[in-house]
Amino acid sequence: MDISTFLASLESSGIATGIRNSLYVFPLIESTHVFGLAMVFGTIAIIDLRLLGVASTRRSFRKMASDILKWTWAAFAVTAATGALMFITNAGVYYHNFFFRTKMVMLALAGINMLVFELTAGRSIRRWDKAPSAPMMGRTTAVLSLVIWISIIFLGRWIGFTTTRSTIAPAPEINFDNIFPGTPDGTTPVAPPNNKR
Amino acid sequence: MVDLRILGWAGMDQTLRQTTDRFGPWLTGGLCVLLATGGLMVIGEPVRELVTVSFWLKMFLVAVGTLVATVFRISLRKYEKDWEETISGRASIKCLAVLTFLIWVAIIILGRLIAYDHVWGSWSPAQKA
Repeated sequence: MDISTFLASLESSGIATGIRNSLYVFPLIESTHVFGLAMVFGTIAIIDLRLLGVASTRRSFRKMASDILKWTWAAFAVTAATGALMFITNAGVYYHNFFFRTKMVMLALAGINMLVFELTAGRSIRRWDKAPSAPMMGRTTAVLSLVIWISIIFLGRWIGFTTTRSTIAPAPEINFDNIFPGTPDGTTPVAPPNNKR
Repeated sequence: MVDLRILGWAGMDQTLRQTTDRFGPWLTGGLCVLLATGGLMVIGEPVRELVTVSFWLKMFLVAVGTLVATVFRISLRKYEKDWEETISGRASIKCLAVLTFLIWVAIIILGRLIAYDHVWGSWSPAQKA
């Protein structure tokens, strides 16, 4: 099976169709994605700034890492899952999108950067655990990590600006009024949603 | 992180005061950046932003969230000892921590919904324009 057949089968899957056909689900998945990435980036930044000796300098690094990184991973799982759901709704378009591809490369680089940290400064934690900042390699990977994650956020936003959902506009009768009938003015809005994000 | 500390789910090796002193300035700084860039976006596309339910609901929640956080920091400074020993253990304060967390989550969701205001149907003024 070649890649375009695979992408097409993702797009036509029941779950992808379900998301596309709902007026609410895509925005809510997107919001959850934003919430997750805020948590991922925020917690990673706390760790990186600690490595750089900018903040939390008097706290043991290992203690902080065990305290915080579990939240990072939980949030990363949420972000990856919601990202995958958004991807399958329009897999063919995202797959060929420059910003999407670059973002995936950056995610891989973030992983490699983390490995480099573990293999260098990570091995001597015991020696600098209580020092205000990490050794050279630790600080370098911390700067790289911040740069990579910030670029991931920008690239992600640009995927939204450069792709449009290839959906048929959702039926106008699915909206708030029909869930709670008798809301103000009661008329069914006819304007189809613009797909601008 | 501050909410997690109040709930006792993270940072328990630090006092409440240490936690807020560590994160407070970053929260204020982050809020300022968000307000400034948000302001620029409103100036850029005022109609798209100002004629939505989501935008005004979001602004209301940002105001509430900021107010709660400010009152908390002032109160913590004033009654530091009580906060560390008893107040942060109260169920009502734990509920408030969850609530403020949810407020900020709602702010994120509403921010995203500004671009999708049609989900509110005729509640959205954009639909009438």
